Amino acid sequence: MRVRDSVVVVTGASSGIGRATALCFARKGAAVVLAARREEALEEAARECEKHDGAQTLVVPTDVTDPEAVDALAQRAVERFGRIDVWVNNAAVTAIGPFQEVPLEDIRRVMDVNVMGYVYGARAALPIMREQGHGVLVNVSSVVGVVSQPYNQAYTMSKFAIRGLTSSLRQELKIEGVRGVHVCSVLPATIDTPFFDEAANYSGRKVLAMPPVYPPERVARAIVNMVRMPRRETVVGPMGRQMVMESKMAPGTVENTMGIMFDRKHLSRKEPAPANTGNLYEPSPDSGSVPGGWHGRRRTNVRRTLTAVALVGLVAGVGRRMPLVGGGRGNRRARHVLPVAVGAWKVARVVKKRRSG
Amino acid sequence: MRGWDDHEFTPAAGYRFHAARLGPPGGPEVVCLHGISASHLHWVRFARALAPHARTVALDLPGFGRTRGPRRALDVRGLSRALAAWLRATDRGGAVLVTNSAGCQVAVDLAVHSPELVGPVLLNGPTIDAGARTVRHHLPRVVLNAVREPPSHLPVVLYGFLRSGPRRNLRTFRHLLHDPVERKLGLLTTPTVVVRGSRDPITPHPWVREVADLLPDGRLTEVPGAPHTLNHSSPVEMARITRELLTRRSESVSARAPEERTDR
Repeated sequence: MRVRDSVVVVTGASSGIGRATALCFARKGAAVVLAARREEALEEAARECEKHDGAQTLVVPTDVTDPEAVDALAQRAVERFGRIDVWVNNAAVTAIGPFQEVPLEDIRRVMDVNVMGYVYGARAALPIMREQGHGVLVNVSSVVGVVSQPYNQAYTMSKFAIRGLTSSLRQELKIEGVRGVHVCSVLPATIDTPFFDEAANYSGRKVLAMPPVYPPERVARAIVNMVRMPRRETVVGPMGRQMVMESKMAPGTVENTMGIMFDRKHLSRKEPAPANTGNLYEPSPDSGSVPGGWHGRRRTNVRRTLTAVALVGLVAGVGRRMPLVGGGRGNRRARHVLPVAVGAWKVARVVKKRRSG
Repeated sequence: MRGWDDHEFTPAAGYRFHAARLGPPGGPEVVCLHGISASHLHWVRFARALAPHARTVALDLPGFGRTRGPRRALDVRGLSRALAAWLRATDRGGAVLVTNSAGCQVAVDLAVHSPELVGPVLLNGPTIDAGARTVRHHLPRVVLNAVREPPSHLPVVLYGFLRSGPRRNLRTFRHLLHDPVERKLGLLTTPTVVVRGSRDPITPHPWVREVADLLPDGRLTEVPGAPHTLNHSSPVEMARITRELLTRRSESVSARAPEERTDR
């Protein structure tokens, strides 16, 4: 479907992936309807969207746990722009902590936002899309929707549920012969957003972003591409894709690895954190932002550089052994390339470790 | 013409009005007013999109489509008085009015002299942009819009143009230019939705915004990517907005006292 001049509704558009997605759609010439709890943050996001060639925006403060509010959001979008071409279900929260210590109320709230919020969104958007005969519903799940995480039960359950919902809706539309309406899910890996700081936390340890961290713009681009060419599912972030693929071949191993990784990298071993409900019941007081201060872009660039260096080293090393590939027997300098590359990689790793503390 | 259920001919005010109908009989009715160089044919797609919910009655104003008009082109008041006579003759006063382009001016003028006949109104691309009241301003805009309309719009416009003729269209256009529509908008007190395509060069955004603000009960909808004639290029969106107006009308009718309803 063409993105230019399409009408896009994004929930959770005040910060993080939602805000990046709204901006990305605005940049491509779509009319964007921004929904979240914080009106000021939405207004600011809308202003950022409008910088791009005077893109049209509409701000609708919405709590996705209220089905009537979600219906009203769809209604407002239709009243303002006449139709809804794309609906991005994105608003999500989490509660982290040992299973017995997370209050039941919090688990229920996470399911309410992450699952029921998506259900309400789909119920509001699909009738409109069916009537039009076209439309794309994008549900943002997570790699956690394939590989579970410890101390993050509610979130894991919700992300698995979203994939189930998406797939079920897709089957329904297929059987009924609705060809123009697509339901897709997007599975981001760890993304640099304020999500981790705003999580409800009962673990006693500060929540970190588990590396590798990717910039939110990458998810936004994946969602826009999903609209251009709808597919069942896409994973954002090569590490995430690798885990999803591995979990199909060796689910037990991946499960164990993820568990250990979560314990070591997702929860700080140095910084404690008091028990708190995060943004579960009240949105955080700031005006929202796309990145969450985890340096997703810089870390991606560092990773890319290191990979390139390692690749160059590998090619040089192979070249030294096999004259046909490159280098040649007479090239004495090439002999040093591999050890130097490996050395550089090691130094970079140490530097990175020191910096991240 | 193909696509319609049937055609009705009604004598009123000295004209033999033609109106094409599509949709379930007995249900709520929607009266459509075309613009300049246009006819009932402009509403086929819209009528199809609305057919499951309401009956579309696409009227040809005197001199356009299949309604013969006087030798001299009627001005806006002449057209709106003819419309009032037809609405009275067919007992359709208070029906939802869906208007396009110049038809909007006729509907607004109707509210001046016969407010009792006006129901909820949908104004799609209300002319004339008060900031550009000359032929010189409008000609490039019309040409640009013709390029932006879907190709299937061409035969429809051609039919409308040939039925009304170049002289009548030019004369009517002059009348439209001199119609102070912005001064009458305050009299259109029924629920009104102003609809504009975001790629419509004929009625630019600031003007349409002004129209919506001047209306006592007005709202603006801007359909992204659509040109001037939304009933042809975005019929589903138009039908959706019309349905909303229909529900608002039924609410207001049921809220009225029963004796008031019977004498209408």
